[in-house]
Amino acid sequence: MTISEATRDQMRELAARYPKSRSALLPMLHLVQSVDDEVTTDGINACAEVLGITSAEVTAVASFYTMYKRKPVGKHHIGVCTNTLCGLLGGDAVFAALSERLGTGHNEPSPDGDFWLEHIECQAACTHAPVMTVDWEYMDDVTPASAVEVVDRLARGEQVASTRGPVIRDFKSTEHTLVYPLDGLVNEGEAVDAKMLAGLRLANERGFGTGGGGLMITSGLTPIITEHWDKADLYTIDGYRRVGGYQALTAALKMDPDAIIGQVKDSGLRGRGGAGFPTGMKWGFVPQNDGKPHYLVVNADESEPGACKDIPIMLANPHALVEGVIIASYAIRASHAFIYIRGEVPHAIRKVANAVEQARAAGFIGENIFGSGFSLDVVVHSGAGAYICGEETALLDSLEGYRGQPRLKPPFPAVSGLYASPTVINNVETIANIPYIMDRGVAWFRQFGTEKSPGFKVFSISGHVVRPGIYEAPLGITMRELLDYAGGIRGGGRVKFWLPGGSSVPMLTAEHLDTPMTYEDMAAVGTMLGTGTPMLFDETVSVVKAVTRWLEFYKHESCGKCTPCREGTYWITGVLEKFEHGHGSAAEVDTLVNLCSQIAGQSFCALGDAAATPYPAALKYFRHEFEAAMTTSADEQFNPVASYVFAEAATR
Amino acid sequence: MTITSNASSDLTPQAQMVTVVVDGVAIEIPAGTLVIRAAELLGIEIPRFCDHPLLEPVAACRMCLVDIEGVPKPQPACAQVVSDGMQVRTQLTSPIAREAQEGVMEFLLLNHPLDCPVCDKGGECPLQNQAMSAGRPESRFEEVKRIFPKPINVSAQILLDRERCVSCARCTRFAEQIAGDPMLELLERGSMQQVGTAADQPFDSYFSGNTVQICPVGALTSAAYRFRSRPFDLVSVPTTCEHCASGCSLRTDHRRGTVTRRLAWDEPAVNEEWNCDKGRFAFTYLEQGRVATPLIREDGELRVASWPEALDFAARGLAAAKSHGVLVGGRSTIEDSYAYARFARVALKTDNIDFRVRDSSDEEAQFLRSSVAGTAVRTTYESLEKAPAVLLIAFEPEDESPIVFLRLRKAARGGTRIYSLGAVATRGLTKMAGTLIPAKPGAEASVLAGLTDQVRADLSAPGAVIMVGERIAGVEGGATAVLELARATGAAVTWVPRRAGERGALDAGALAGLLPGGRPLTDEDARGAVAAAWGVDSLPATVGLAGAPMLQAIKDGGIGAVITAGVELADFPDQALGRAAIEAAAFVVALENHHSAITDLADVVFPVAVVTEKSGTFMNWEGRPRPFTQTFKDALVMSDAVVLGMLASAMNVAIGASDVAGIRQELGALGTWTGARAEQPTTPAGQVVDAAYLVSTWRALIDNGVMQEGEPYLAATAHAVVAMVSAATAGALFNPVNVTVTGPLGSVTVPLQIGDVVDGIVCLPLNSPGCAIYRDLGVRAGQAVAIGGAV
Ligand SMILES: Cc1cc2nc3c(=O)[nH]c(=O)nc-3n(C[C@H](O)[C@H](O)[C@H](O)COP(=O)(O)O)c2cc1C
Ligand code: SF4
Ligand code: SF4
Ligand code: SF4
Ligand code: FES
Ligand code: FES
Repeated sequence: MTISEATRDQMRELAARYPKSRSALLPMLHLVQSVDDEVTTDGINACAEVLGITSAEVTAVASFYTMYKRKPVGKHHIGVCTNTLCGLLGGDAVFAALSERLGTGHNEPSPDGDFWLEHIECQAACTHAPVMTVDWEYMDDVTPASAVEVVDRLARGEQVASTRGPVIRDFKSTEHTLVYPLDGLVNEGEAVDAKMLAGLRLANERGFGTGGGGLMITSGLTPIITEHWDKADLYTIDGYRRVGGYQALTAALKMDPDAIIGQVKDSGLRGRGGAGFPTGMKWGFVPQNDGKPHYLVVNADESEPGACKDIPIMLANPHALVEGVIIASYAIRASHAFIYIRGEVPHAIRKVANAVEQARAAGFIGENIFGSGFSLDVVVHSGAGAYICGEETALLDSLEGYRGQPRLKPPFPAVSGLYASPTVINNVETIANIPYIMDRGVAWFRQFGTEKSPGFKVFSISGHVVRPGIYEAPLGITMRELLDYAGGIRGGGRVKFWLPGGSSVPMLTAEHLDTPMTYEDMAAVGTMLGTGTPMLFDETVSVVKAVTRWLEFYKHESCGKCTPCREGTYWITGVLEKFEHGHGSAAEVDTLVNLCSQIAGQSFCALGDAAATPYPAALKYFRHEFEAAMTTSADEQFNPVASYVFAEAATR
Repeated sequence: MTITSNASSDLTPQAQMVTVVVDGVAIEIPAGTLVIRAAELLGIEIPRFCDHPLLEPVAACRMCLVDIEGVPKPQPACAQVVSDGMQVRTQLTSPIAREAQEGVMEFLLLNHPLDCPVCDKGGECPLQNQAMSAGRPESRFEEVKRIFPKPINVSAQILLDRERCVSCARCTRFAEQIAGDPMLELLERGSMQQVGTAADQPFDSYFSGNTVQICPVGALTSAAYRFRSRPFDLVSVPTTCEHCASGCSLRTDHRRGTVTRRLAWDEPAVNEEWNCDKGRFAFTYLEQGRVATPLIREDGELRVASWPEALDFAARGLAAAKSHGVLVGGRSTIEDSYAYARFARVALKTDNIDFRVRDSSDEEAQFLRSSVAGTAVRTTYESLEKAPAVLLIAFEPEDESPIVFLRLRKAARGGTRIYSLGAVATRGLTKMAGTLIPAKPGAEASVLAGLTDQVRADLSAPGAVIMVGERIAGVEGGATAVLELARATGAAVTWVPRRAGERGALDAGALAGLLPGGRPLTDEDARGAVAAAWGVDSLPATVGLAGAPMLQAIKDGGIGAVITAGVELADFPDQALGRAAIEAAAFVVALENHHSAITDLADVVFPVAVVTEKSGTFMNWEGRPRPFTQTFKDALVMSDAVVLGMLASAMNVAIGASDVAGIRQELGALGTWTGARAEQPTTPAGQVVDAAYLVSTWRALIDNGVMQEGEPYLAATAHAVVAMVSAATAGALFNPVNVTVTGPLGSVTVPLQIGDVVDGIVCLPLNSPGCAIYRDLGVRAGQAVAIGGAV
């Protein structure tokens, strides 16, 4: 199809939204899909023409991101998460059922061309496993039967509603929303469900307070960011202001920006994106009076397998993020902020875009905000399917309209980041902490957690627990306590292994349940707090299969830039797949360790290190299972049906 | 030749020196040096794939990992800068570095097909070599290798075997950073990452062959060379490219008397490590269509003759004519041009000599005599790189001197402002982020006189340069205005001819009114000194004919006999005049290496050597001598100078040395002229032809040029032949897809393209397939054409 002049005009308008036009490339490619149902050659050429770059440069970008398709998707895109957690909890069976129903395989259209089936990676909804998406809207907690029913109803033209989002339209409409998220659907459907409220309800039931007494609180539940999630209109500016929202901003705008940085430093807040870097210190690195524009970039790419806390924050309490963005921008003297949200979560993008618009309408964003002399523009930017874009320098390249491959450091983003200007990149949860720290003060903040890990954390607990969901608690709480709040392991079972914060951190076992969830204590037992989003697996699970699935993920998400990660994940995955099918060898058990050591510390970025993590950690505790896999497949060792969270065993 | 530069003094402060220790050996080097370079200085070779000294570091392949004391993880030597006291241990002294490198090598070989026996790169492959030195003896990989259908064409010339690629991104970085042609990109991601192009846009870069050369494996190959031979069977000889005045150093590889390939040779002062595809791939002409023996015309037919017979025939024919003219095509070496210059003045006693077989003017001749010939080198590649501003006039560097283009682009990336005065913002100008100073053809001189204060201020900064192309000859008042601007601003003027031989021919005196070393013929002292050196009593004292007036005189019978040397009739803007002149000439002696329209008309044809069969010197646009030696040592074909020497003997005249060493000695003894220079031109600014549509034109790098014959793959990568007009001009046309452009001799119909062109101007290639405008239209730059379908 040829791209119409009207679409080209929209492309030009998108290009004008950004300080440098090429940044509009990802949205422009989504726009192409919203009219052409795929990224067509015409669409590529139109993008190239509007941006004044070559078609090869556009092709390079289009082929990097998985959300861009090179064949017509059809009316609906059906995604099934088969990353380790969802897959083992039943996603595999869901995918198999859908594959049979649709008569197609992975990343292919159905024979009638109406549906596109794809097994997708973690959707930041692990608490709702197994997860399916229809046109990227959430269909949580599916079973093979319920998933097939969704497809049947769509095929019959019946109305189907997302479990946390609006009524399903079609693939092209979602692609349009990713470009123009103010699509009028922000109020549709329930975005906050029982699982997202699990911790809050329990806290209310049990009468947990949120401070006001004692020091070093390291137990109990402390709903702060999540405190008002049960209020239906919290996501609106009125709802947010009713619970005290934007007071912190009003006060902050009267402060000296350096005093804000000082306060954040004093609070001891550490980044919630995984690395735990002190936030105030990061802000302090930004050179002042350098004559260059400064930028704030919010990392809302949440794609780490097992992590599902940023997307819930954005669905339920987007204004906390927006308020934090404004305060942080003011502090680092940025007049432009970007919120880079992974593209697969249209409803979260709607909520945040709506919050930004409402804040703009209320005068919190714009020129000379409340006469402070401070001006700010905030752009909500959709990604397009690439886990590596969560790595901060890859994110910057992606935001500049390039392939999301990490940059050489130095220079560091604080000195030369977005458009080679000083840039602060922070995680959603990190930024959402800011209004509370500014509002309630350092002393209040520091009463939670430990000296080195002050504050509280939005823990998402997923896996074989009775009540998976969001639990906000002080840092320093133990997994055992959290597990207790989540109702323990299903059926009174036992933890086989668990990961405190995403698949990139080494796994632990039941013996570590009493280790406090802090940066320092986790390091002491050889793992990391990571994203602080525990995944727990019971004894029905094959560790061989779990590790294989994670490696398949890293292989799929390796950006390809450096040799160890690109080739190493390819190799290791191939060997692990043999083990999964019962064809490993004794020599390979050790070869794999060696291969992991050839990636760790030698790859270009931390994704390679992460890829080298699951196997050695698993081997440490479960060597016998890998040895058994030399002759016995994972499915023979562990009946896969036993690990499903539904009772529809027969479908497989 | 002394190389002096008045380029802006280097303002960078003396870099701070630091001491680093590599494998126990200390070295003091400037801070900021990369570890890999520091090691090289000590003779320590760290294995590498993605590193290339002229490309920005990416640290992607991880082959160069070294162990740095105090740093927990091994670091890439290609991206790590040294700091004072740094202790680096490479694979030679550190097991950590050695193991890291072995690991990376194992990963690289994982998906590599190891088809070395059938790979072009086999024998000169960094992967093959480093696998021996830095790899483990056997692979532990037993899984299935990644396979790709092989090979794919990324352009008609360049093929890609994806399974051999190691994703080092050298080719893609070259395309983007050096050539400015990001049409070759890394596509996909992860283990499927691969090099490729857009679906409908090949990698048609003038510089594409460099990617083959820098690819550290055999992933990129050229259609021209693929499977033709094995590196270790080849003999390599360094040479200088004969295709243009950039003056690239090349390496010619040959086998059994045939050139198998040409590569860019490392010459930091000139072409760095690059060259263009014409210089790399256009060499088939060296063997095809050659004149093998002397020929003489008898009873209206050319027949084979012995050398003595042909020399005698030629001597008698020349003696019979009362007046003579000598046309030296711009492709001769300095030595050959000098032989023609001397032969004309001494043996033929004429000053009717010209090397400008192209559009030329008297004003241009005055400009060259007064301001270019025999001047000291002032502007160099290096000084361009440091120039604050460069103004281009009648010059499209990417097409007309590609390595000048690359250096200008490098300069522009470093902050040099590029202006181009003309009717079109060319692709090259866009790639240099340059600014067009719009001027209709014909209006250039007046636009030059009225430049904005900004441009004048930029050109007044120390080190600023005005680069004038050979097309200035077609701009009335252009050279005059350039010299005036240079006087007013202090900017250096440099002339960049297209052909490799023109700058040298000028200094050798192969232009009417000019003796070797820039001596004005009209200067008695200059004439006397040359006459003495040449052992004759006197030399012609009045300036002879050149250019169109010379052709006219030949046609009218005023000049009876003509000697041609490497002349293509198609190169004369007035082709009818050129042909009529040669047809009318009483006697034509052609020293040519190829059969052509000229040899068909000649009375005597002498075969002469091509560049591989002789040694010699080209002088590039800088004025830098670029000597080269004979590739085929046992070639028997004689150079022009040797043939002229024999001809002079047959005429009983002595013209001195005819061997390269002897001529160089004579030229050296003469030296350059330090006396008063010839008068500068004072031609008033020209007028714009009053017509709706005027032509703007120049020769594309890859076009109908005779020296590109026999290279279909090269020809297929030429830029599209189109008529480029402004949007406003296009808006006034009925058919916005194809246009028919008509001149006095006929029409061409070509696709229309909208570009940044002055309204009313039609930009057409001068001599490309389907659009050779001298021949097809009978117009030259600035003349009126009609456009079919104009409203
Ligand atoms: C492969 C990879 C993926 C990452 N993904 C995310 C992500 O989705 N969200 C995030 O905030 N940080 C992610 N990070 C960490 C970021 O690079 C960066 O440290 C973080 O955004 C900084 O914010 P913080 O200081 O507020 O934590 C990722 C890092 C790597 C190596
Ligand atoms: S480790 Fe290398 S290949 Fe892997 S994601 Fe990072 S840069 Fe890309
Ligand atoms: S084709 Fe060659 S130069 Fe290009 S990325 Fe591959 S190995 Fe490197
Ligand atoms: S730029 Fe000129 S000298 Fe260099 S290779 Fe090309 S044609 Fe030859
Ligand atoms: S949503 Fe499926 S694993 Fe996270
Ligand atoms: S040569 Fe250093 S990483 Fe490639």
